[in-house]
Amino acid sequence: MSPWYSRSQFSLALAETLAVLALVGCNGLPGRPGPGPEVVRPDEVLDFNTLYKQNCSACHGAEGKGGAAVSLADPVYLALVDDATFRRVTANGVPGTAMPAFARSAGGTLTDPQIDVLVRESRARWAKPDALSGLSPPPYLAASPGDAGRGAEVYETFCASCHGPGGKGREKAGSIVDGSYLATVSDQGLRTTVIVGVPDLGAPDWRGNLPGRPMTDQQVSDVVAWLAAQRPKFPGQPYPSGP
Amino acid sequence: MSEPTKLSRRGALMKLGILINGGIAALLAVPIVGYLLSPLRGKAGQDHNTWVSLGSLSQFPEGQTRLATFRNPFVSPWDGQTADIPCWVRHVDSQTFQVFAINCAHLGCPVRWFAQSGLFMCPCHGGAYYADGSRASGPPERGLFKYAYRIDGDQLVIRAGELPTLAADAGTAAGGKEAMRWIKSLGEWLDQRLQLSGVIRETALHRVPRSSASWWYVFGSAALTVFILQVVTGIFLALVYVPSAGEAWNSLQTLNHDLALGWFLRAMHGWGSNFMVALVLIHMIQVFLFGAHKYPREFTWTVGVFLLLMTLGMAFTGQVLRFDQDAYWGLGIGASIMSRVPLMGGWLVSLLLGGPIIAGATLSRFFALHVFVIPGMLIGLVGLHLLMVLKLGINEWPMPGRLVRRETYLKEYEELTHKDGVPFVPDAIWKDLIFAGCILLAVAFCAVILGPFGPTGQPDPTIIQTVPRPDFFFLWLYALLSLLPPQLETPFLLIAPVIGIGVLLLLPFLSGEGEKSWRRRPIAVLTVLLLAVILGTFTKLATYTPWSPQMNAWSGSPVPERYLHDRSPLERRGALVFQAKQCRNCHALGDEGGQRGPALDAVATRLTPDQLIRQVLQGRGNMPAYGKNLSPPEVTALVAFLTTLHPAGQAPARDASRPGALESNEDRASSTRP
Repeated sequence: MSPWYSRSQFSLALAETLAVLALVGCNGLPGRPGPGPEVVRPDEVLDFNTLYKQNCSACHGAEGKGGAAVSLADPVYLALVDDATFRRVTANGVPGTAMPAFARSAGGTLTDPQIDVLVRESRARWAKPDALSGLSPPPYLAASPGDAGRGAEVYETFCASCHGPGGKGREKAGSIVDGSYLATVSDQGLRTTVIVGVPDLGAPDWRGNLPGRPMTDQQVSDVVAWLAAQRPKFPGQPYPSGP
Repeated sequence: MSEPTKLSRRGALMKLGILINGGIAALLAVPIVGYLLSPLRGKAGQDHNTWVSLGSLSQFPEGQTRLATFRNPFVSPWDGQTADIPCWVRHVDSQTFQVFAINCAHLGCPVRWFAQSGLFMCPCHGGAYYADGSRASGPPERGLFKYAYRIDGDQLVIRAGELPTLAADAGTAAGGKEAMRWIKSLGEWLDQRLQLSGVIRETALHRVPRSSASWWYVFGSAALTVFILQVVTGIFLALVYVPSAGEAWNSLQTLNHDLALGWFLRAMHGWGSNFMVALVLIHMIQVFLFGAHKYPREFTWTVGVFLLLMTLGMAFTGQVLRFDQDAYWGLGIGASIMSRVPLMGGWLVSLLLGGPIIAGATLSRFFALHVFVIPGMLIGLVGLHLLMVLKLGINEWPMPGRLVRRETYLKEYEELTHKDGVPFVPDAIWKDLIFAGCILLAVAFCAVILGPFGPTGQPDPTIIQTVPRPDFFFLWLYALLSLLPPQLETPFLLIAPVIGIGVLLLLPFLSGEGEKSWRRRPIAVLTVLLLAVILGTFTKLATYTPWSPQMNAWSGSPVPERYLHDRSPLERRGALVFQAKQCRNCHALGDEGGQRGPALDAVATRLTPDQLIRQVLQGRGNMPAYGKNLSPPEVTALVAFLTTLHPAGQAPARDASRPGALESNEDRASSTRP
């Protein structure tokens, strides 16, 4: 075997090794597309973070709190609402309020599995088993209709210290009897807010209005009935005129 | 006696040969031409539209607008999902419906319905329509296209089958003997200048002026090198690519993920395309600024203009072959532009699409254009371009004050190459080779680091959550179509290209003599700079599209928490109205949201509550009127929220007359009380 021959064999082997290395190395190149298609079909997105960011975060806040709508990351709210209700509201929206329907069957863009992911994962992330510390809250739905007359008294007892006499607001909290406000919120929305409070703003839940005296189901129903009775016939007139 | 018979036999055999060849060519031409023109025949003979069911009436609740999908009645076997066509169904009352096409009446992009604000919005140029399909704002000149419908038992049936565009019925064909005579005289004129005979004798050793063996003269050869790269990579891609509407996207996925370095091949081809467009443009600017288009090289320039158009044609058809959502809707835009041609619009749309909708036949058409027709013409014209450069000689370095005169130029050039010339090989070519090598390395670098382009989502027209964008080189056009006043669009689209191309073609014949140096041609330099600034600005604008509504901002961009803290229940309600009514899609808060309308972070310092109410109710300029779409309490809540939007140290705008008006109102009210 001449030395020249062995050198050529060596360079051939070297070239082969380099080629193999190059091919293997190419798998790690930055331009190589990641696995799967670059853009997933919108109806096949099942990642909670993506779905929540795109569909919910604008009103309910980036991490489920801090938004203008009810905080979904509030363990008290999650303890009050069962999955069926959560799902129904997400899918069908709440007519007359700002909550739109998200299910395709109701004119939205999300599929049923996508809504399931939102409901399941919200609870998995944000619910806490001891959120109510053993107390049972008034039921989500009112058991019996409230009485507006009694509601006025309930209001003075539980709410007036922050919301002012007659609900017209004071420094700590704004008016809750404004016609336009009441016209854009549902009775159920009022009931939910009375029960769970507004944790972002420090408004207490049904247990905290008067220390040691949680509101009863009937008291909640009554105060909601009183609020509903304050809705004017023609809300939202910037220049109130005439008798 | 024998001599003449021999000759006539030879002549007869030659005639026979021509006849046989011509006959076979004609036979081959019949099916090809027939197939190409079949959509036109179909259009004239029979209507593509037919009645299609959208399904049971119960799917469409009264008073609501819902998305429906139907299978286009005229399909080819390879249309795949492109034949699933979406549309919007509005159930007005018991037996009254409106069925709207998904395509925006502006350029055909998919419009989306927002029930909360009662508007259809287009993601591209911001066309907006009211619930009844009438135009609300933005560039569309008309309302949404409507399908005719009827009710069959419990089925909603619509008349559909063709891509809805502005085009009227088929127009008329043009033609004439005049054209033949004109072409003939043009041919004679061409031949005089081309001097095809004997050109090939010139070899690499032809002498070029020493001054032109410069680094400024390398862009043309680099463009040629990238073209060869495109041909080679293109052939390989064609081995895997399936030009079928149902399979093209999947075959690109195979290239990206399953074949060793398939993605690299795609990336090289994609970046090669960008580099080629750029190099051709730079080459053209260099030629123009160095006066190389002047006598006797006018025709080299003219051929170059066609090469530019074909390069852009390759770029567009290539983008279509990447058959993804952008490609699909890009074709819709092409069809929309075509449909604006008076009289012939419908014809041209059918010719472009190869059928009644964007589907398999469309892709096949663009495949043929991209792979056979345009490259074939490109190769031919590149050859011609090169021959002319060889025959006429490379432009000498322009010296200020050395004027071009038809009478003397050729002699002067000959003297120059003799006195101060060098052989092209090797004195000049080494720079070309090195620059071309660097360009190829740059293409490979981009391919390795940045990867291939797309494909983005599947070309399924029923996926309307998409925002179509053109590729880089057409971004300026995308910007222009957003910024032109609507009534100027059609004239601009139809007239400007004709004028632009006409000016380019005529340029060397209008200024074929005189000064070559850019130092003595200020208007030429300013024109180039102006065009570069315009195109650059439009391209830059189109990368962030301030005119496009952000379709997901209403549900995906949170209101900054500082705007919600210490606010009354009514003001917080207003923030919800702001989001739920899609105001955010056009108005930013805290740098998030659309830029179509002004950002509203400090709107309260600019508008009083009354002015805000008026703006919301009546709209103005590009803003739709929300008077019909918001209830009075919603407007009050919204305006209450907006009046809180002012910087901490700056008081909101105030109408001094308002308290007085309220007071007198109350006075009047109390005085009328008994």
